[in-house]
Amino acid sequence: MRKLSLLLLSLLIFTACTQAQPEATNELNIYSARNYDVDKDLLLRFESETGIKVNLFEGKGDELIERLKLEQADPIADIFMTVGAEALYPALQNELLADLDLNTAKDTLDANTYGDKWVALTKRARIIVYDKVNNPTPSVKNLEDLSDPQYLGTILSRSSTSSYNLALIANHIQNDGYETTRQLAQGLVKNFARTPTGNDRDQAKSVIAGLGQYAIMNTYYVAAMERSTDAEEVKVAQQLGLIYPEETHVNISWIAKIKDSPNPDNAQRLIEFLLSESAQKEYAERNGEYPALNSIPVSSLLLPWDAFNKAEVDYETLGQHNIETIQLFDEVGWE
Amino acid sequence: MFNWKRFTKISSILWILLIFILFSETFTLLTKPTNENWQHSVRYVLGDVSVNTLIIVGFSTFFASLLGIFLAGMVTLFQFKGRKLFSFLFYLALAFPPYVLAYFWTYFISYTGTLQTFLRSLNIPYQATWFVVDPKFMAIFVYTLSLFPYIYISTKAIINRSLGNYIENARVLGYSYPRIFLKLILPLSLPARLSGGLLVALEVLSDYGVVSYLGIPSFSTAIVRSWLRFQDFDTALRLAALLMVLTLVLLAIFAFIGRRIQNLVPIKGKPLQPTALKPKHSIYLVSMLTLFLFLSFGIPLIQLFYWSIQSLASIRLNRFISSLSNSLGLSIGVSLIILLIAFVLANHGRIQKSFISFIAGKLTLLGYSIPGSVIGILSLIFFLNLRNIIPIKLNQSIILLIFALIIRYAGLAYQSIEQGFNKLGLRFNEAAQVLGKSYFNALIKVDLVLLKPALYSAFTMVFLDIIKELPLSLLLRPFNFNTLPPRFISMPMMRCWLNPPSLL
Amino acid sequence: MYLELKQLSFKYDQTSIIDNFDLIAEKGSITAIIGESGSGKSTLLRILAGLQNANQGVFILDDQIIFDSKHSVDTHKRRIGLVFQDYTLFPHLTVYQNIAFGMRQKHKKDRIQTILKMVELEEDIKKYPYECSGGMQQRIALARAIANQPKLLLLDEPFSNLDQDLKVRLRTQFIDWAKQEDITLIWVTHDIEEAHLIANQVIELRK
Repeated sequence: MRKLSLLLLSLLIFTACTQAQPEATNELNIYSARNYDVDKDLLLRFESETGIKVNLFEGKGDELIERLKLEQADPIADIFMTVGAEALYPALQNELLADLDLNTAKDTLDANTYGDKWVALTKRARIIVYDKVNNPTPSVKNLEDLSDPQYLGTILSRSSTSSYNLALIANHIQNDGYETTRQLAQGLVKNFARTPTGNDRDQAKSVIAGLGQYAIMNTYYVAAMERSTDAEEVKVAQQLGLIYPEETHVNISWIAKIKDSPNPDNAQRLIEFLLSESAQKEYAERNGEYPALNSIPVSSLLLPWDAFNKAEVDYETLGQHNIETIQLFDEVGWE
Repeated sequence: MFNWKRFTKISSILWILLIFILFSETFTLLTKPTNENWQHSVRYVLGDVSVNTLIIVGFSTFFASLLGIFLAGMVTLFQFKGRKLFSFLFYLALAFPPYVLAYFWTYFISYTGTLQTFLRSLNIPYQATWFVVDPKFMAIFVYTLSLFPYIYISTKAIINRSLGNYIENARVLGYSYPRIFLKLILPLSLPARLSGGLLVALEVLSDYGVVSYLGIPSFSTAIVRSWLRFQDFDTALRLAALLMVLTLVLLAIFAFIGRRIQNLVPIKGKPLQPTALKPKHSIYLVSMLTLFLFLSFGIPLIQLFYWSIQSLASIRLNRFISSLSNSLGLSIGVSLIILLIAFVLANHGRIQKSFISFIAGKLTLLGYSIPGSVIGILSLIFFLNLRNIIPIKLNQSIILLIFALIIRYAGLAYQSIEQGFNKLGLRFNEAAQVLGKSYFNALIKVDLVLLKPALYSAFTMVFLDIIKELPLSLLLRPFNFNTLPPRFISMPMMRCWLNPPSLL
Repeated sequence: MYLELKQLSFKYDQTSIIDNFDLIAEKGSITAIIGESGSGKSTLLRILAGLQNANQGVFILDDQIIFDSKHSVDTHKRRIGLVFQDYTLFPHLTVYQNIAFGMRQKHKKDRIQTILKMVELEEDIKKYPYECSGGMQQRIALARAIANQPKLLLLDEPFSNLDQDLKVRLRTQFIDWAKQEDITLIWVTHDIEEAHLIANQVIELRK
């Protein structure tokens, strides 16, 4: 029958076109939740400098962890990199990561930004922004202040589904306990100007638009917006004032080698490459992040690394509070 | 020649078993005691999630119906310049993934978006609060715009096929068009709206992209969240089970209404001749339709084009092309497979309206209502279990992705082909049989030819859906096989990447 | 006897439509079946053609058992033709293709030419059914049915859609053709006069 053979033919063509894993010699397989332009360029540079072919598989942090779990018996990925510390605990718990030898690199890093099996690439602080022009003298110093009833209808935040908010609250639970954090979150939610919607940049824009007075967002967005090709975003960024809370939550993007992966040596080389000064400079300049390497200067819009007070945080156990955190969000109605 | 009737029967049974096993994981779960997370979910989450989901599904279906009927009416009743073009363009609306529209419109009305920027540049005073839109409204808006074609297509078909005589009669009796619309078209097109409406409802139920982006707690986001954030399969599957129950209820309701109005189905009449419009009215209608198209799709398309050109330099062309060809190849191949499966299943239902064919039909539709990510999990578990029996590396291959896509979208093709068979009836096949052709022979030489419109329509809908689909691809796609949709969500600078893919 | 039908019974949902029906007919004869609407006339034809199965009964045609309590020959193997009330011409095929549809023999072309001549459709072979008048469509349907020289030809109220003159003319013509080909006919009609006019035997189906 003609139809049947047509079908088989198309299946054949289709299978031929869509080749499975190539069996090449010098490769590196990366599962990454860091999807910025700067990362793509750094990987390209790595490829050309080392001749190692980079195979990039992008996705969201938690989905990639799930995939890594499923592939554990026969790993494909060599490297896992993501933007939030909350993924570290599940990765360690499920024994997905390989031992990592950082040699001398550790000396230039803050103590809590590396472990036996992982290392931070960049840091980002979660701060409060406000409109410098229309609100020149803000009286808020930290999140606890913001939870006070006098700030009713002034707070803009993104959804609780965001991993950044997850880490923020998890950090608070880690330091202050569930009950105190719950009250904090409750106060914040009561003061929301609207139901959370949009991402961090949208919060900033909404502040400038006058829909709220204070927004919670990550530092690198401010810098990134200032360098945006969209003129409107630049204007917004320039109008933002920054408040670093008295105990600022700092999150990390981190990288690790996968246990029993096919190309461990190449993986090691990538990590060393990304921790090198030139790579770290890219993160700071192009993406507005705080590089893991403290010696690299950051965007002028942000406070220098040692100019603000950071909250204590144990990244390896932060993710232990994930479930509690989400339950907390549900309880206080942070959508 | 092999026994076709037996083949379809066995295929139907196998299919039922397959789906049953696939979903049985979920149902065996219900027999186990619930965990703490589930109890938490029920207390705090389930209420909101259910309400949101019902509101969004309900209103989207409702508005999509209105829009679909109205446009179908305009295009069939009247003859005006560009009628065929408009007719075609409305079909095209299906090619716009709802989440693309969601991203776009959110951006468009945002503070730094086109609209507000434009107003500011002209120094027109406005309040930012004017442009604050409840995410649920945005979701309904976006779903309506991208899914109305389902109703548009079936209503148009029924007006053309069956309502011609009635409408002409009414005109002769002096009924005005609005009256014809209300008293004739609206009630008599109910069967069409029902089948189209069901598709809309199922698509909205299973969508993840829009609600996740807009931050609306709904069933699909709750399921994914439980699975990934809570790392809690249990709760995720329980929620999925609830969703499936909800779907079954929905299917039952639609089936019930369908049966009640069975007698209202008009017999096949003469195709409707569209009435020519006076030039004045013609211009009015054309401009109204153009405005609609422009507002709903023209603007996004233009903006996306503009961004395309802007970011042309930063796209890595070879990666992009490989993504493109992967997407296309996958979509076409899987669509064909699905078409074949749906054809066999629908055929069985046609030959023998038995319990088996009934169950097969409903189960197939079930897959369509479940979020892709859930089918993803279930397929993964299924293959992992299978692996214990047959030692093949299946969970890492493209077969898994294809499998999940088939389970998910077979229902869509099935619905369309089944309808096609219903409309066709058995008469031509019987005529061929008494002329000496076996049922199967007649199927190929006669029915298949006459079924072409239904087959093309099924293929197109499935193809478009597959190309648009998002979550499945994210989790199951084989390494080094980046298809298009996932590239969206990956990029925070979504603008750059939005354009070329969605321009497909 | 060329055609024998014994104790045919058919039930639909507990209601008996046909009850212990018997029929015999000679080769080349015309049997007319009359009866009120709903008396099962069309069902009878469908059962004979094989499109539906009887609950009970034996059907023998030309010394071959078409069906009995144990077996049933598939429709397409029975060599029994059926002309539907609405003709059911294949819309996607031309007149020629419609008529030629069932034919498989070697001298197909000659046979079709003969038929076309008989039904006076030689000029219209490239037309599609929708381009033909009612009378033409009727002729195409009949031509298609006899083209394959069926052992038995069943007709379900043929000509009922045509006006009186055309009906009489076509009917007379058709019976001539059937006699020429020596085809046995079973003819369902609601027109009692017509039945008695054309048939060798008239059978009435009662509810």
